[in-house]
Amino acid sequence: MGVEVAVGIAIAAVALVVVLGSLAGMILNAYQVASLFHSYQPLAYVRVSSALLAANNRTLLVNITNYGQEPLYLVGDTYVIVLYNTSTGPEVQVFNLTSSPPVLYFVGSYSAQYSAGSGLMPGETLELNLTLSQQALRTQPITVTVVPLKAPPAQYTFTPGPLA
Amino acid sequence: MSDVAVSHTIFIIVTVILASAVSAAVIFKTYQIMNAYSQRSSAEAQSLETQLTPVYAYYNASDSSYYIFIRNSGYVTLTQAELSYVEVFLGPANGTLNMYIYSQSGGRGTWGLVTIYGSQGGQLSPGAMAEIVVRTGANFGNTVHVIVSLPDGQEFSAYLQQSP
Repeated sequence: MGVEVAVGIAIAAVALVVVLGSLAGMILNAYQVASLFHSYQPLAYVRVSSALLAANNRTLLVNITNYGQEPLYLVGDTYVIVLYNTSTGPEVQVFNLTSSPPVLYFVGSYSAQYSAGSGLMPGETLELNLTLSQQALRTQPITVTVVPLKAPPAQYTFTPGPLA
Repeated sequence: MSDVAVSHTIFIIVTVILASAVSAAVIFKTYQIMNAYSQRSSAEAQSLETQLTPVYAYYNASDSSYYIFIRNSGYVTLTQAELSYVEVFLGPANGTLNMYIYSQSGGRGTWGLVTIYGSQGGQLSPGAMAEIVVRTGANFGNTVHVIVSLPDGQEFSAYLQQSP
């Protein structure tokens, strides 16, 4: 009976290897898909922390803060949509930060000129200097929508009010 | 040949046949499971690669239309031909949505392409943002519900505020 037992064990071993190999392949495949899904998740989220309309009624300063736990890269691929009112009616203007890059960034109490490619780390703030094509009415609300490439959009509305 | 030897030979042959049949069945079933899983993973990955994000909408009283900004935050380019088969559903946040089909020539109940930021040739490449006009003929209020439906059945939904 020794030969039969050996043959049986060998066949069982081969079958076990095949089954375990298949299971390992499936687990590996699932892990790859999970990793892929993770890579598509938003990595950061931003808020418009404040905005200011300058005295000339055309310069709009917008501060964007990364409130997420991951860095926000590709800052230049961010769009900013501004809805404001003029004496002739509502106006919508779209800015691309590649052509209107941020001017400053803040880390705590420290501020410096922004340099492209450094990204926006968690807790950091960018200041944008946007020039409106027409003068905005200070008594009407201005809505700023910031649209990063890999983070949900952020929206902010404020009414500048009369100059002091 | 003795009876014992014959019975041993028959036993071995039957064992080998049974073991082979079981192994073949296990391998076939495993292959089927892996194939189904692989197909599902591929479909999931493809759906993840196509990602449109409606980011902003405002109502323009002068032409009784909504202007909606849609960002391609995925990894797949939508050609002009594909865009022409996109259906847009729009309505109030808590109400019934109406369907709008593509028409560049205008007309109530249709939507058209205004401009595409960050892309050339009328196609919506990854990172680009499309501004579309949805000719509703009615104001649905400050918050609207928009669904962008692609020809392959994928849908991208968002509640958008003109001003928060």
